Amino acid sequence: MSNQCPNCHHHELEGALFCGECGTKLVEQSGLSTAQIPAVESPQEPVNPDIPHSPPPPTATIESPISLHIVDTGQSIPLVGRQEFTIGRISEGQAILPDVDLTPYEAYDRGVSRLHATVKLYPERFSITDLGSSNGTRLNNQKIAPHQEEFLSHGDIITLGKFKIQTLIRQEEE
Amino acid sequence: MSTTYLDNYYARLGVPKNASAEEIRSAYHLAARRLHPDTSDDPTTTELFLQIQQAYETLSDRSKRKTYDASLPPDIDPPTEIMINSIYSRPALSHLQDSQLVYVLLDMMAKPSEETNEKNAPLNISLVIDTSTSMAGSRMDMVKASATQLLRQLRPDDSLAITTFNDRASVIVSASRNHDFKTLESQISLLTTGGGTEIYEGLKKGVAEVSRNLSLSSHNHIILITDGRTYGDEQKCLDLAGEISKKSVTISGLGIGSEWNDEFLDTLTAMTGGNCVYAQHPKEIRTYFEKKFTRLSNTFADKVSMELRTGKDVELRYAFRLSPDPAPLNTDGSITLGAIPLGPSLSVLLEFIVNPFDPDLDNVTLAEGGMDMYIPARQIPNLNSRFSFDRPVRMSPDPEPPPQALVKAMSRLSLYRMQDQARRELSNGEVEKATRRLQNLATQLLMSGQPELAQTVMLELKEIETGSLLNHEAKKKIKYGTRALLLPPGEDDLQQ
Repeated sequence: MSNQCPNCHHHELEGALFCGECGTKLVEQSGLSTAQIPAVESPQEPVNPDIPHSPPPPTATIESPISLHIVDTGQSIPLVGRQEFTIGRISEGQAILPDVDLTPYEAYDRGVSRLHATVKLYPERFSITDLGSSNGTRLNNQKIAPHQEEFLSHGDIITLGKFKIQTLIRQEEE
Repeated sequence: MSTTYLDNYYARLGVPKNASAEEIRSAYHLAARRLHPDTSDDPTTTELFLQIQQAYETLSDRSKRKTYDASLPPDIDPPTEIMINSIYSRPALSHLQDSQLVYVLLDMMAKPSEETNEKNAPLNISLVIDTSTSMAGSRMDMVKASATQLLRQLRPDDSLAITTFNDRASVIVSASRNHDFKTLESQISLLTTGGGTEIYEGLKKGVAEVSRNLSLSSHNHIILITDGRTYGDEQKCLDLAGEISKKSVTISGLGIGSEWNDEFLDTLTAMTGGNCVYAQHPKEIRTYFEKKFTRLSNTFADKVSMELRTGKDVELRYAFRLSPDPAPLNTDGSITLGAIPLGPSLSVLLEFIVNPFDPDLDNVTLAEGGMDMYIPARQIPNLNSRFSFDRPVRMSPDPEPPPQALVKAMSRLSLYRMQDQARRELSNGEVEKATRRLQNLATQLLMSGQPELAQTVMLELKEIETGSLLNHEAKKKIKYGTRALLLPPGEDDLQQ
């Protein structure tokens, strides 16, 4: 098995991330370079100079009750204005469109179905249901049964195919 | 599945194995405050947060914790007050006819207890200043002004010594606390220049001075400031650094202008866990002093070092400190990683080559050994713990892309390594290879939005083409410029 640089055809060892000859990236591209639109804009409190790296508590910056944090790109999608959101990707000739479209984040390559799962917002809690997707859904690495509702906690990792999302739930200050 | 010493859930949270539920909870909250993805775009932060989250999920659940504890080797007890996380470039190795690479990003974050936090460990600084003829003028003026300013910032229990050197060395201010500022200021203002550059004598006296107030409960630091090349005594200096590397003393270097020997100073400082900075203009000297003082006053642990033995069929090919103070690390024998600041992490990237291994293995040990560090603010100053890195072996190749944090770090580091390689090729007379590599480097720099640095590389290429002498300034600009690319955004460096 070889790991050949697409740019200069230099052979790198398996596991190399960049070509040593020309500096070309050898691993799968991700959406990081385009991830410049922070979904959540909120004024940061001035940081105490004595504690240089202690940002405000996490819960303080989330505007919607629940956000989906895309692990690979660092973006967050706040879920507001509905009680139920379908999650998937849009492709040509599709009749029913998902509320949350993950196409821009290379959802296809990561095995996300067109209508993969739904997130439901209840007054006090949130849930996820797999909609019988081809590659399945995992909650904190445990596969969940299709069409069966599972409740979510803050920080849970949802994996749609290989697409990782973390749930960020706004919590009241302690 | 095996659990490695450094990659266990307790180490990730920086709590002992017998930690109470409350201790675990508060460690998690501390980490969450610092690392929550909403507060940072940095992929490293996100990865770390996920690791810590995973640890917390298990340890906060009584029955999950019990099962997990049963899976741990009996003799581990992770260091407390430090959160240690390791991010691997691949979840597993596969069986190959050829060698393969694995990267490990090791992240250590200080988590001082309240008691430790309140204790502000004193500084023990020994300045070693080059006063050769070439330092005359603005360089010396700026060094004097910066040293005076440093003096004013010291607290009564901080110790300061000043040694100067040219052809010979003399102690201007012997290591002392409770300074008489007026006397010291006039002593600094009287410094004159003249003669050549002989670092060894100066360094030796500087070491003797720092040793006067050497204590495990202070930050012991030598700052070497030079603008010249020392001749003939390099090996003596390195031997001295080798001796120091066993003590709790760190050497940092500031090279001014284009004539000093950066390879020598990089090696010298790396041996003791310090780093070397390039000041192109005299005005950068002041910035360096300011930053150094802040850095030293905000350090949790000094001289984190690893006694590392690689596994069978494994080599450690490269080690680099990503943060703080990006710098390549010596990989032979004991590796001195550097200091753990209060606040940002000490973050180190290790590159392992795994040669073809026994096909019956289901787990490959990359490296194991012991880790050491000095924590001046703590009652038990010397912290010692074991570590090991390993990877399981799987039949199918890696299905998952590597973590963003590693890709990001490597994208910057690969540029630094390209210039490093080109430099080596040039000194071996492989001009054609070096030229091609520098052309590629210029292209990559342009693509990553660094037009000025790319321009410097292209100018250097022109000089190489005409066969002219090596341009020391361009070489330093490229080296420290690509190194500065690894600094976190917003932290402008001297090199920029």
